[in-house]
Amino acid sequence: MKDAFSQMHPIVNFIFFAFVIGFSMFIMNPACLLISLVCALFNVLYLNGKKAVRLSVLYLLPTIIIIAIVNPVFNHDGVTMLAYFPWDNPLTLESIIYGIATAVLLSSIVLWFSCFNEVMTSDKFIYLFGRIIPSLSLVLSMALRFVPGFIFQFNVIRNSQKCIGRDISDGKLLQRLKNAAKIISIMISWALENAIETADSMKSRGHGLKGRTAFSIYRFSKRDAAVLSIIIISGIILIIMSVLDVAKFRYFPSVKGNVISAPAIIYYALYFSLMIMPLAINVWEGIKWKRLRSAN
Amino acid sequence: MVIMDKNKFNLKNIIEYIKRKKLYFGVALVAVVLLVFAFLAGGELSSTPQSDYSVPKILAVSSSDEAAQEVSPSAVTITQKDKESEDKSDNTSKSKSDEIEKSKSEQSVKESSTLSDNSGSDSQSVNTDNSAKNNSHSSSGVSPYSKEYYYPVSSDSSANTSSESAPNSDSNGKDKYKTDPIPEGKPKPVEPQDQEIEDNHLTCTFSISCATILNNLDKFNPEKIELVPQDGWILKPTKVTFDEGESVYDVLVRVCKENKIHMSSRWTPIYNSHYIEAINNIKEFDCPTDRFHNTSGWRYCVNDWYPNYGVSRYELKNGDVVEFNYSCVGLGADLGADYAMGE
Repeated sequence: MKDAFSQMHPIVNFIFFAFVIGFSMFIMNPACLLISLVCALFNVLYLNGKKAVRLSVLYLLPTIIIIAIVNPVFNHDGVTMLAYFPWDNPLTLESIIYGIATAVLLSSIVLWFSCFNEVMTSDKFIYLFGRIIPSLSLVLSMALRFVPGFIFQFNVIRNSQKCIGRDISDGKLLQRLKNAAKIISIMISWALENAIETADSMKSRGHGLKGRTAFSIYRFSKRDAAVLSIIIISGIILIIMSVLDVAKFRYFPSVKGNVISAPAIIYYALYFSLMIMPLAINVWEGIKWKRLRSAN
Repeated sequence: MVIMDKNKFNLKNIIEYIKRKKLYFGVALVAVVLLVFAFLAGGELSSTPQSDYSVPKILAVSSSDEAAQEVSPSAVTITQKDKESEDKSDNTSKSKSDEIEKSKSEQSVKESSTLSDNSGSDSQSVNTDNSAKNNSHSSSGVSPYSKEYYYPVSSDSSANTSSESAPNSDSNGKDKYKTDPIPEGKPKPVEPQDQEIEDNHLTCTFSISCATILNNLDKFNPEKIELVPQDGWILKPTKVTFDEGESVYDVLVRVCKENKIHMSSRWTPIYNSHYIEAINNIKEFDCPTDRFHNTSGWRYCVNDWYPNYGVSRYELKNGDVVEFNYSCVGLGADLGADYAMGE
């Protein structure tokens, strides 16, 4: 079953992700970083389930560790000197903290983008940008479609070759190379043929003729309007608060900032409520669905 | 995805996977090691842009009459721009020179500072008796960044030779580490590779100051103002013992470690020396006085001479007076430095 947030109007999805990814990139306050990471993690878990666990444990955890280790090696700013490197530069506490902060920022953005890919499918993208940048959005969606299609076809060909004992893992080195070359050759001829077929098919259906419209069943409902207005208003308030340095935080030369104060807490609350929005909508819909069912 | 489905991601399978793809992981490991090595040994790239910006060189060219015609229009416009912003540099150099006079009384510094005062058209009324004495040096109509301004310490002959060779001698006259000829009477650089340290204790006077920032506090990085001391001294002149053969860099590292002063440096192979990026967290480029060329950074000075080669190549002698000063304008012009190298 598709989740409720994905079923909303594409413009709502797109503006949500534009705001959220933008904020995650530019706000370096540690509380905001944590909020963003936690919300992204919950969202990905809800959308992708097991796949998300694999992504975060196998790729993001090592990334965090590597960046946290590498940053202090090259960055020597900071007032608190802990030790000295053999090349006479200091190891500072601030650079370690900054390394961890950047790592969290990076991984939360990766997680948000994996949510983005799940929610903003290519048909939504075309629907939004088909009018404004028609050829670019077509090329984009074809290119995005191409990679998964290619991988799928590769596996099909590989499995069929495996059936007749000519997989890459069969035989000695020379035989393996021969098999691999064969598979790639099949792959390429399929790709070329597929491209020609696609082009012919599109032409025969009248692609590029004037006055044609794309089919879509997206309806801008009242709920969409409400959610969109909440997103935009809270986003604008957050931008204004960020410009006014409500929760100012700096890492160099010393870690300093007013993390806890009344306006800062309002800021975090707003930030959290914006980021948790898709999950909240999904959970709300789930509760509603169950209640309606139990009533019958 | 038939093959992938078998893989459950537990430790055993991951190790098996790595064993199977030994070659790929080996190549990846080698690549990572190479990259790390390149990063550590490198630093060439980041230092070159500044050397292209060696403003004084262009200005020195435009000051000599014959060369002025050959100079491209862009270089001339830069001179004019700097002429306008030159009043500021006067102020900074004056107060800086006061500081220096307090600590020590070398004639050459006085001369350089008064020269820089003189060169400004406005400052003549402000000047005291020194101006009359030195009027003969600065002829009317010469740009403020004249020969004298940049070569105040060097004798006449060496100044002439260097100004003659300066215009189009990127290749000749320099040693293999891009150092221009060293003025007569000044110590030649000693490469850190040929350093011979003997167990023979000598002393020198060491000081670190960022007094020039006090005149440019409005332009200084606002996050770091708290790091600038009231009087500008990060380390007041102190006697330091060192072993014979040690370079200024070696002593700086030791002094900073002993006094718990933050210092970070970068090895730059083309100049065969370390480059001092930051002292006390005051970094290069932290004080942008000019909108277009941000030339702020650390410079060092031994016996009131700003060497035209790097810290690691200067071998200290007994009784030397070493200063590290932060420059906000013109790669050391506000310190009265005679020659700015593009380190």
